[in-house]
Amino acid sequence: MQEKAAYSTKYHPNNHELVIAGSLRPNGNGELDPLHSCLAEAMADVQGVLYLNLKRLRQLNHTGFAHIARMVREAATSRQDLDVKLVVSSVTPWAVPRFEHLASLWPNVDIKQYDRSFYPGQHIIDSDDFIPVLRHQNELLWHHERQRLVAAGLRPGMRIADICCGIGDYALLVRKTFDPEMVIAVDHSQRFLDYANSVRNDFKLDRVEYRFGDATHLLLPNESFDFVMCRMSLQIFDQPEQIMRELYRICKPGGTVYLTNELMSHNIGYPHRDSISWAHRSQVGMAHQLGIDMDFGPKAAVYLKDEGFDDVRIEAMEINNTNSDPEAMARVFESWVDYLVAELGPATGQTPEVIEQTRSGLEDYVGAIRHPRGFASWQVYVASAKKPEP
Amino acid sequence: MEREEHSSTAISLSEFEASADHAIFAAKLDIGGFSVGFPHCEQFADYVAQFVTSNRQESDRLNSMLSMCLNEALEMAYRYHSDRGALWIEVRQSPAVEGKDARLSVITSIPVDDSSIEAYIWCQEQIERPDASSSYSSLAEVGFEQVEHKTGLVELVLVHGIDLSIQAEPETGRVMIVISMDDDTK
Repeated sequence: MQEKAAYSTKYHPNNHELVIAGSLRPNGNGELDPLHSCLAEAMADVQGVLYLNLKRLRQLNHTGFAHIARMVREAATSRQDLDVKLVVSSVTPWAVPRFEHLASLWPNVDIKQYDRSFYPGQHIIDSDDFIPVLRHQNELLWHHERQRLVAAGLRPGMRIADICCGIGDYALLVRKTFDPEMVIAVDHSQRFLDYANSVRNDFKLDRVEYRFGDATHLLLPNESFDFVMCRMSLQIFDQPEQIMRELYRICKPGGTVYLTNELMSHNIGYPHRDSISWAHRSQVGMAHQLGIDMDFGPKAAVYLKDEGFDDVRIEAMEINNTNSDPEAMARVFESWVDYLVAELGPATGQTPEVIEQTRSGLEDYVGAIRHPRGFASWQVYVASAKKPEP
Repeated sequence: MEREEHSSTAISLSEFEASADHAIFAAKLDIGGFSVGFPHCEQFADYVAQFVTSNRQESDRLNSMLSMCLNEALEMAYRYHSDRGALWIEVRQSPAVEGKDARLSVITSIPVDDSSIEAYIWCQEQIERPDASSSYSSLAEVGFEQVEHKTGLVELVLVHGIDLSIQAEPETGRVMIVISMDDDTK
């Protein structure tokens, strides 16, 4: 039987960071030589803080843990000038109890759960109040995206990943419509996943799995999906290239990545054109303060190319009150108005006047959507690309 | 201690079938074949966890915990067993009944001899001692020197709060490890 090289380790001097990733389930000492070499390299170099990055450690047996305990002891006791920080992810359920226990043993060892709030706007988005916003949005978008998913290459029998699946309703629609082999849907909001699971159970649908996970450090295997979706999400993260790297990694060669993102500042409406345009630009500015780029849409092409994808295609998906159900569209933006007043404005320190003017502009937009002679458009960009085959 | 033959086990099939619990996975392995390769532990643990948790709510978390628990039980079986006999692995599902939540139980039954049974008895003693937590911390503080191959099951109980029992039966030449966890993820 072949022994597999299941874990990797590397010391990054610029970050004072020793990274251990993969599955560390050794039988004995020999398999751990690279780990001890890395620690020796780190200890010779580091001053101040040593980060032991364990956030992509997928599995760890007790023997492996015992060796890490020895490494931590060595670092903490031989170098009492050092602060040793154990960086773990909440995605792996065994990590926090194990390393919390270890951190309690030495005063200069500390644990940091890096993904408790891993993108700046998470506390805003990760809220029960946001569920209606997403429900209305997805209901509206599905009507426009269904054929685009086919055009991008989605076919029955595929293995599909829905990264940043939010409340998970798109994964269910894809499951019902395209009869895939399996849909694995990942999100970092436990609230959203609870909601997704309750809907899945109510609908009695199989071949859909919801997983708690961090899109920048997915615990999904390399090259394991035919079709990888990441919808309306890259715009929310302040470092979208980290997610793009993971989308590329999990996509099979020849497989497809499918993205949607907004170009919010280009949303227009009549009547009250100026008020509507100002309100959307104001929202983009507020979101920007939280590291959210609501104008990410057309930029997806550059990110896809930079990551190494081929056959990059991008198009504007015009959604307006004449090609969509105006009432459904109005409900989406009504939800946004409520959300803006309650969350986004105060969270970004806007003055009451700015919040009020933005709210008023968005209400004009909702009015334009419902106006029998009005026009309102919502700019969303669809991007797709292929992972090159060797 | 009576030596077990390949064909006999302390847990009979009829006992399994008579159980009210629903077996969702069961395997009987020759201990000689199993102990040929250490990677068998991880391969079995990952396979069984994947099989059991597939298409479930919170599948990844349950998968990760099940795989960790079963892997530790199998690593014990790999290191401490008799020369002959069968290794049983079973995962059972107990439905929720009045006043009790649904449970998943992972049962590993290992053939042992006079020498190998000692490791399991040591684990049992570590878990049951009144100062179990502080004793475990003392072991952790020295990096589990000398005992790292025996403390995996102890860690499951004392650090992760896993409901685990070890039944060492010298008279039958078997050890049964039963790991039980809430099953609210169907």
